[in-house]
Amino acid sequence: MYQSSTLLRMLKWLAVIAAMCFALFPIFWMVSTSFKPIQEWSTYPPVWIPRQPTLENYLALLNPAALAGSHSIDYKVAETAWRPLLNSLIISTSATFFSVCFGTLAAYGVSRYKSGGESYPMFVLTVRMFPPIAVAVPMLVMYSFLHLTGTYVGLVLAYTAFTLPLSIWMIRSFIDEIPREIEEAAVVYGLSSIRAFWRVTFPLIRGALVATALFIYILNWSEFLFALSLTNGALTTVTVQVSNYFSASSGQLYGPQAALGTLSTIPVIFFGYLIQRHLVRGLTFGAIKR
Amino acid sequence: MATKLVLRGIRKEFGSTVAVDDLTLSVEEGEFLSLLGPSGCGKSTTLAIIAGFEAPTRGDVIVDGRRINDVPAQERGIGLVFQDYAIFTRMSVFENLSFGLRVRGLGRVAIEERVGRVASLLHLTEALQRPSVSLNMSELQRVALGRVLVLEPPLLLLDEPLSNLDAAIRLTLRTELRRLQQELRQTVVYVTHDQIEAMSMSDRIAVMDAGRILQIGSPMEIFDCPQSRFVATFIGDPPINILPASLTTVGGHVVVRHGGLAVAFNGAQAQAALTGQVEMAFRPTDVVVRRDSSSRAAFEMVVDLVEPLGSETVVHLRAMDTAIRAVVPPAFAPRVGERVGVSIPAERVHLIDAASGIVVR
Amino acid sequence: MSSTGTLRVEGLTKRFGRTVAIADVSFQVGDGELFTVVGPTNAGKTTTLRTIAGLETPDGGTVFINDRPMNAVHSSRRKVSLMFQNLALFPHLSGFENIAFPLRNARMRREEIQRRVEEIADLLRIGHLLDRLPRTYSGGEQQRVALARALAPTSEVLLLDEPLSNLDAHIRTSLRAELKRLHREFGRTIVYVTHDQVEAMSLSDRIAVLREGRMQQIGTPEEIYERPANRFVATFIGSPPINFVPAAVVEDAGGVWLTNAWLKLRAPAHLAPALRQHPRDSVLVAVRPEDITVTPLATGDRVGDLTVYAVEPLGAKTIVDVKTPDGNIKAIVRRSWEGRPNMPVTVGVDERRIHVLREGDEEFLPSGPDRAAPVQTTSAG
Repeated sequence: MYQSSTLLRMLKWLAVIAAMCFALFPIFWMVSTSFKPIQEWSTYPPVWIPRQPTLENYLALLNPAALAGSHSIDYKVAETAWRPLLNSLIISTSATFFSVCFGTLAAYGVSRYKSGGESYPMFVLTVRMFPPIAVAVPMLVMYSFLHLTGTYVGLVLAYTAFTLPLSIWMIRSFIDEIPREIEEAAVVYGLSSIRAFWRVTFPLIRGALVATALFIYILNWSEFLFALSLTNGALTTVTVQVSNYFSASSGQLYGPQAALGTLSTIPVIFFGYLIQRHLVRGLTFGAIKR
Repeated sequence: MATKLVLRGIRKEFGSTVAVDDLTLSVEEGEFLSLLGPSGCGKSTTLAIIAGFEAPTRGDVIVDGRRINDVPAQERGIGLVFQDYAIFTRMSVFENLSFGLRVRGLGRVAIEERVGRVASLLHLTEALQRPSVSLNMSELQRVALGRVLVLEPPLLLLDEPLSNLDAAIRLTLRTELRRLQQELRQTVVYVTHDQIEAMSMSDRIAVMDAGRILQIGSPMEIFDCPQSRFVATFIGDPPINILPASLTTVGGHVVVRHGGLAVAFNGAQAQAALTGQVEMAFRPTDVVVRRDSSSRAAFEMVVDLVEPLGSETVVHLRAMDTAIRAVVPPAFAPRVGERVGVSIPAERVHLIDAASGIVVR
Repeated sequence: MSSTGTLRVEGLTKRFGRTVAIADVSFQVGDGELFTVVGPTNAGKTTTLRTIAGLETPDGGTVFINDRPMNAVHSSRRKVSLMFQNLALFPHLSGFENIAFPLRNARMRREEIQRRVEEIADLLRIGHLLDRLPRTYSGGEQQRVALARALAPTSEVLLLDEPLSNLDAHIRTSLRAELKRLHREFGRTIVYVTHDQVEAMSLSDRIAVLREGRMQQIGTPEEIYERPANRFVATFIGSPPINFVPAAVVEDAGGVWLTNAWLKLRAPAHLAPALRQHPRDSVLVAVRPEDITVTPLATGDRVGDLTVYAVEPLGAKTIVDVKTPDGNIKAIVRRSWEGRPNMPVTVGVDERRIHVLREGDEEFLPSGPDRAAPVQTTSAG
């Protein structure tokens, strides 16, 4: 191939940098705002880096009592963010667990036994094809009837149901990559089919399952619509809580909103970092002749 | 309308690895030259440089006296068939084969004649009207080959064009490709790792390893007079026997010995300067195996393993720590465990300098 | 060092949807025999092996191991080893654990496993691979570890699916011999599947030739090569393949003759009776390349119909392609054969070694047992 010219290479880098700025700017703005005092939240010209960084916004979320008497605060935060954070944690974790568990079982059946027929995977995906808002209202009716509104079970059920198609699709593609012969070898060499799955297939897709779990977790953690509509305010998740930061006198409380946004991003980034080494490809390299 | 190709001092580096190292080669008009070597020896890179897909780090590509380093690939007018082929799947076989000719504006009659000929050569006549999507691997590869052959390019580069084919069709295509090349007087550079393909088709073979040409010569020269251990081992199946040996001088003769297996050379034949460790090498087909081991020169060995191949039989022979392969006719019907007399004609034995791997005789 | 067993397959049939993978396949493998199933792509070789292993359920027929019917026995209890064509090593397990896998499942004692794995590793010279993961292996090393895993358990039948495919020619040649030697030492019952007729010929005690799911012939390598049952077997076994030359059957006072425009052969004694029943019929004479001699015509001789089409030196021998009015035929000639394309030649055929079939038939005419194999005591020509 011909060497690309220096100019072309510079242009490529410029394009990459532009794309990165575009993607990263909202995050930068969120983090920056979370440290701004109320005067800098929405001024013009905008304040890029807080001139007087403050932890007030975080205190307002986590320990409003400490702010008593502070002059810069002219609003009251009714509820601390602890409860919503805990709620989100419980619901997202449970729903992710169930989604990946059921997803693995279903994906295995679809991949190995063509369960449900050739068109089944596509059929499963149709659950994601219409906007959730379209089902939110009928679901609310159903939930009221079943007394699931505002319960952990209710939200976990809804989240599991709506992320399961993605779980199945992702995990299926991982299982498809594992040659069937590797499992068959385990069977020929003395294991039942179920034990062959546990001893051979599961260890091979473990990393992939963690990756899928992370993906599903992010979806669950940031879900808003069901969290709002299926709870009647009885159960507040982080996303709903963000929208609760609103005061009659100051309008949108951008500072605490940004602070909670930042806080809720941290665990996801942290988990993502932890499992990074599991996100390697080529799991079966060396196992088979190609 | 043949073409002469010259490569002068070609070197190609990829980062810190040297894929082709100071390669100089001249392919005569109408010559069929094979680049033969194991994977990673630089043969495909060399072909890509001739084709213009890779720019050499150093050195010149010269076609008919003209340096073409700076000519883009599509303007070099070279016919190319690679291992990875792409054919137009939405066209029929005929449309695929005639594509290049139609682009050149040939008449319908001429196109049909040339396509028909190449199709019959490649056993594709029956498939001509079929859509390309319905073809199997072997047919696809032949279409890819045919698409280039119909253009009758004066310089043709082929990279393992027969690799995905069944054994039987590979055998016939080998013959047909060679015939066509001779008729059209095309200059061909043929890349392969299959020594049988190289042997059976080429005017000359260049054996490559680690980016260098180790030896270049006619198939029989390469087979009979390898210049290095590598070439001796790479050519020939079953592979050549190589045994560490000692040299002694007995009277006017130099005797090369491995265990009880001895070969005497007369003084003129042997290298007087040979002092270091040597190895003796001889082909399984040159081993003389006799039932009656009465002959004085014969060395007694035991049949260890018999591999009948139909038209010939490979026997593994053993005596103490000496193990060799020999090829005998099936009628010899060797039995495992039987004792046979073995001798090797001195003129068929090569001596290799163990340290350098160079054949000294 | 291990148990062995017999295998019997009776009327095995397996369909996938509408395609019949194998149809009514039967054979028997004796205790300690190396039995090869050979055939081209889609012959049903792998299906046969997988059905024996219990990975496919047959649509008809029965698999017996040591005379016990196996159809209802789960794969994990059949006491077979299967070396898959793609090897299917466990990528997350070390070489040691891969080989120990069947042993652990058989509840072998820890020290016993250690001993057994090391013994097998020694045998296959893979001691240095035991602590490493399969991804660090070369192609040949992968192959050896997979073979070790198949050899380790005390299986009654070893099933090997193309164990030498995708390897360099030289490695394949030497592993082939090694495998044959191993088999001789341990006498395990082996069913070996390959598409490579050279492998089948060189390794096997007996060969079964399969084509499109149907059994063509079962016999020793020599039988298959010397007395092929039909046209397909004759063509498939041997390289370059056997030549088919059209001829007519003519009988005169001198005997029965097979003739065409460029060849006149006296029918050998073992074929004459059968040929007499088909006077004037068109037949095909099948003759192996090594049974044809090609002689360049001296200048001055009448130029005949036969010319050299191509000369292909292979080193120790040369293949000559001769153009005849009835198509090309290939002959194997000695290495120093002098001839070049378009040169006029004559051909001679060793008529004792021919086979004949009637045009349109697949089966050869029956031949007596006295088919000649030239006697020789020396190898060098």
